[in-house]
Amino acid sequence: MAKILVVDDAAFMRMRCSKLLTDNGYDVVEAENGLDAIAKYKETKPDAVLLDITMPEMDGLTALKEIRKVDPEAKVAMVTAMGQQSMIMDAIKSGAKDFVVKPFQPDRVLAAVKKLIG
Amino acid sequence: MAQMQFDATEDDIKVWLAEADEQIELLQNDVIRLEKDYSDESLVQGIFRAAHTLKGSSAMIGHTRMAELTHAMESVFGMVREGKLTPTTEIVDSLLAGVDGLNALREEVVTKEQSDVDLSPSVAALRDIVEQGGGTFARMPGQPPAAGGQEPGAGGQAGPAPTTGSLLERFPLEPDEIEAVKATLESGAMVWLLEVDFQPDSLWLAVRSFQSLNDLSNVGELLKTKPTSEEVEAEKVGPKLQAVIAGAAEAAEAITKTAVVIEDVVNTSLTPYTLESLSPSPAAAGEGRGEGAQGEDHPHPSPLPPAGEGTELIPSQTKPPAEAGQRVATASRVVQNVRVDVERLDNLMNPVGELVIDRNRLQQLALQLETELGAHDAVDALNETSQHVGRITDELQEEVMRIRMQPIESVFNKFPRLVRDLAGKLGKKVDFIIEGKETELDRSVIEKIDDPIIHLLRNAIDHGLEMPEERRAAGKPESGTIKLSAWHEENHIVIAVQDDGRGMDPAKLKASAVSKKIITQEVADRMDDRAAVELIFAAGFSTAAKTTDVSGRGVGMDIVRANIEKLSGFVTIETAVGRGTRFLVKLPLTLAIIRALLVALAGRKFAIPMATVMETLRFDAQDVRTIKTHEAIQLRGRILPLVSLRDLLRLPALLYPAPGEPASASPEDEDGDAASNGASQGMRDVGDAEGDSMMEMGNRPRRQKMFVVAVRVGDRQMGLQVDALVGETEIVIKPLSRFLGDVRGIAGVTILGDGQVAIICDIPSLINRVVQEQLLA
Repeated sequence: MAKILVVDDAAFMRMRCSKLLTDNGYDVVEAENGLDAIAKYKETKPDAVLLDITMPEMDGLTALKEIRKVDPEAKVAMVTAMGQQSMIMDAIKSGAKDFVVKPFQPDRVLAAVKKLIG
Repeated sequence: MAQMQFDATEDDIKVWLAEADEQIELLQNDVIRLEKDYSDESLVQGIFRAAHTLKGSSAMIGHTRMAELTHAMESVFGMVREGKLTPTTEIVDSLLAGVDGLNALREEVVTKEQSDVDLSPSVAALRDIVEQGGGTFARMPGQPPAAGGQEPGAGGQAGPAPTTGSLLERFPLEPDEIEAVKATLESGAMVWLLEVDFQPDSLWLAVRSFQSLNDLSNVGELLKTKPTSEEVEAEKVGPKLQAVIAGAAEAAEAITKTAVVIEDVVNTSLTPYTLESLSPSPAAAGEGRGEGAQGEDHPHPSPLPPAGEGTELIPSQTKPPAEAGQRVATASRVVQNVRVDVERLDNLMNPVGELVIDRNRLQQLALQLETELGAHDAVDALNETSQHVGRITDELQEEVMRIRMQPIESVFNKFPRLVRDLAGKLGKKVDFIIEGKETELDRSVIEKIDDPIIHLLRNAIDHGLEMPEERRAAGKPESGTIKLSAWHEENHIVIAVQDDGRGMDPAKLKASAVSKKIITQEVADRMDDRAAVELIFAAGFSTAAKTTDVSGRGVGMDIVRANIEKLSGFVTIETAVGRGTRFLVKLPLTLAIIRALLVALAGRKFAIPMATVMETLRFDAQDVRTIKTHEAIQLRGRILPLVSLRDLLRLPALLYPAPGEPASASPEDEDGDAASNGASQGMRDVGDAEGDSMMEMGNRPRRQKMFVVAVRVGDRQMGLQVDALVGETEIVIKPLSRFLGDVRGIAGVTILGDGQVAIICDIPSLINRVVQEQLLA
């Protein structure tokens, strides 16, 4: 069972994403902010991370860097809404492997996760 | 009404609503502050986030109109956040209209019925604001395609067919670049021209190009690209990416695969360079084509359908503000919040209330046993246990109360908008100040307090404040000030509504009351100013010739006061002609459990909330004075009017005795009854056998003892004569059953430690009754 860490401060998004993944055979761990994400990453060692890029307090980019510090091989895809292209590019430079657009289409998310895990 | 379908289960919708309501509430509270506080970064950021999150989640469930509206609002907020737009009154009005729209849209999710509300004017207005501010209004991506997905068509929207033209025609190279390629070829490696076509209307071209270049550099060497990496990072991109890439022969497959798996790619082609094709004179078109034909051509449809992204414009402000990225939380602890159904909080209160009653009971039983058995191990153990239970119950009660306490902010937040709209309608200028919104009170009170406050606010704006010209003429600032404040006082919360308007004129009020036949002229003449001001609380009173539609649907101040008293609170007025008026509303912090003084009356027990009790008194009948047909006594230099509580409650001399009690006229020595550890503060003569049950007032033997509870509401004081004083205890207020409805003078009932039912007196309304009766006598 591949394990995915889903990080988003919006409860509804988190829930939908988790449901989609568990319906498709993945194990899901949730985190609602950057700090929580780092803690959960250390705790559960997921196979991949879906990381929202705009979160309060610690934003996705910073969280990404922190997660990569914990695990330089971490496989992270950023989750983003429209209009954040340069942030995504920064994220890719900081090690994000891909990105998924909100509101997400199920098959795209699943494809991205599959690609992440490799 | 059109039915609506959302891409969410009922459970999903519950979660969605909980979150959406948070965002909408924030927007409702904070958008109005934008006019003054737009430079407050955290305020603007919070507003932006709320719109952003709401946009995302409404799009997720397929609520297109809501997503559109929130998207438009988010765009405006984004510009404010970046300092590109300053919120004027008109802009804030448009945003507030948007917030109103959100409420209607939110309802649609609940009812699954499309409402008639037309949001296109709001959305258009917001779009205009964005464009006037120099921004570009990016359209929302269209609805995600239905589950089946929408193949763009194999090789469908491809750009120019990559096979036409020679390599150098397709991708011109400088002479030195050509040399570099040749040199690489001569060293034995291969060089290809990779051409990638993206979905032209994708909104993510820059990132996809960036991703491509990034990933490609891992599988080959990029000699030249168009657009260049600098251009890509600056988002100067188009739907086509070309790259001259070098690598070992085996790399070809990896290169193609890498390019193809990037999202939004509709077409890739990989064509190898040969030394011949790089010769100075470009080969004939045919040869080029031939070359092309030999190349590895992968007119792939992307493995996945691109997002059904709608139209056109790429957002021009994509740079997020610098500060958003830098703030890292310094706290190392994550604060967990739990969402609790409000109904559960209510359900928590009941068992706790019952526990309090049982605790009292236990204590009483322990005492009883001790009396009967004397010293005994079991009695000691019971005592200890009952004390422990007492402590735990106290703790539990405190915790539950604390959980139920909420800052009054949630009530106060509705008001700025209300005041603004009302002032606008009436042509008045208002400075609205709120203080003490963090003051906490019990949830049950919070729900019921907003109506009275709204009325007081409406009153202040409509009747209190003068029109700007009148104020100017009076030497006052044109803007009237209305201050809404809240604070704690002992066990109460006090809410004040104050205005600096024209104040209330006792003479005018009296005249109006007389002309409305509420009081006679003689009574009016006798009345002091304070009583005159309280005339506004009389039923049927209203100084306005007609009630303006804004000032309430004919609801008078009498209803306002009655509602406040229903909450076991009371309201008082301070006013000065020409200077202003202040209404003070005092409410208990919780309606559930209070300390009360138990008294005996007509053979039964009654409870008087300690909050109203000043002290208890015992004196001889001869000390009673009679002042103008009303009885009173002198208390430390002041006159305290006396009233028989039995008469006030219209009780017969003796109520039907409680089961198990002897039908005796005078109350027995009821010592120890519910007197808990807290008995006798300010109390004298617990359980004195002498009572006053059968004697009529004014008809007593001179040495007859009288027991009086001195109570106070606001600055009105009164002595309530009772048969006997019993003790002080904590009681759980239970409402009268709904079959009985409202009984004036009674706030509820409680069950005492001995199982008896005691009636709780509603002191404020009883005092009012006395005042009315004495006035009209």
